[in-house]
Amino acid sequence: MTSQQRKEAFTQEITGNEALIWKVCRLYGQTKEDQQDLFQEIMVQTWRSFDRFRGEAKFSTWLYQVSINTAISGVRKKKRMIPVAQQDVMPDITDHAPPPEDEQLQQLYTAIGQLNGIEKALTLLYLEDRSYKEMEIILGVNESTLRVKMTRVKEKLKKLIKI
Amino acid sequence: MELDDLKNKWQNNHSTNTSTSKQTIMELSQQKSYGPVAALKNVLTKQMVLIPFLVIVLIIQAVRNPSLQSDPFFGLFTGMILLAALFFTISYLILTKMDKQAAPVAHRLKNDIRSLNNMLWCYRLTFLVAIILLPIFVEVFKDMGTMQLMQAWYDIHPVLRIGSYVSLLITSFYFSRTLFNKDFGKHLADLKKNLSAIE
Repeated sequence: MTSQQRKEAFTQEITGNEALIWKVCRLYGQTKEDQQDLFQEIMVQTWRSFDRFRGEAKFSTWLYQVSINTAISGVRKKKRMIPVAQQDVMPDITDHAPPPEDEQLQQLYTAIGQLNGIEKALTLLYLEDRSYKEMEIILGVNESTLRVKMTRVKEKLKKLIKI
Repeated sequence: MELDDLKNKWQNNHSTNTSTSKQTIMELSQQKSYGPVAALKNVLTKQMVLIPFLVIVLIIQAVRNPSLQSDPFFGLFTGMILLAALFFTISYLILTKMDKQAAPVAHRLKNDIRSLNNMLWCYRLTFLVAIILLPIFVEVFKDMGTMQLMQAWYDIHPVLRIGSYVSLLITSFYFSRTLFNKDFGKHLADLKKNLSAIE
């Protein structure tokens, strides 16, 4: 595959799965700026790892792995990562936020915000209706452990939403 | 309200794909990384800068004073610099290997913890070898040294000298651990915390 073909394949795959990345950013980044920084970092990491994508799993499954790994690792920034000139090209995160009038979704986001990185990943995959088999591929944890963990996360969220 | 009740709402709210242009996607993907591994690489790179500087100092000294070239201490310093260069090279390779995120989350966490622990082991071994070699050279080659500075050291009572070597060894053991934890400890602790949460 030539460099141009690689770039073409990469942008093609990302375009079709962009919403997935924004969902990860929405759950892991607290502010709009954090979310944009994380979006950029995921782009960087996805491109760097793209030669490792062999097509054995669905691209979305592979992209979840990269995005969640990047989000859990976090972004070490000393100053705003995205230069001012580049901010114009950044998609607006508000496009992906829940409508302000939807109190239930707002509550859900607030509650998820209080979970740790791994619990957030589990919640995201659950809300996305991913099968436990696919979760196992993404997280590298066996299905039965995931079911137990998911039950605990649900209980934790229930309490948090009630509060 | 339970998580299941919100599943449909979540999916409906996020059902549309966005449309960042292909050019923007490529521009963003070519940016510098600000992840923790990139930060650790920066720390290492800053420390590595010292190596070429020390090599230049050694070369200048050897050219200005050719008798130094047969001095065992000159050989010791050269060996220590080579040892440090080897450590930095290995560490940099380990960090480069860690800088790939395409793996199941738990596997990546385990691999990164193993890599950082290997790096810590390598770090301590380098420190230990350098510190052990120092007194060995100082005592074994004391009649062959050409550095005037060392004569004052040999005038000190042997018991005090040995005591100083032991103190140096103990201090360097803790110093190397503190230094490693300062630069890499937080990331290692974060990885372990996440691994215990996922297992």
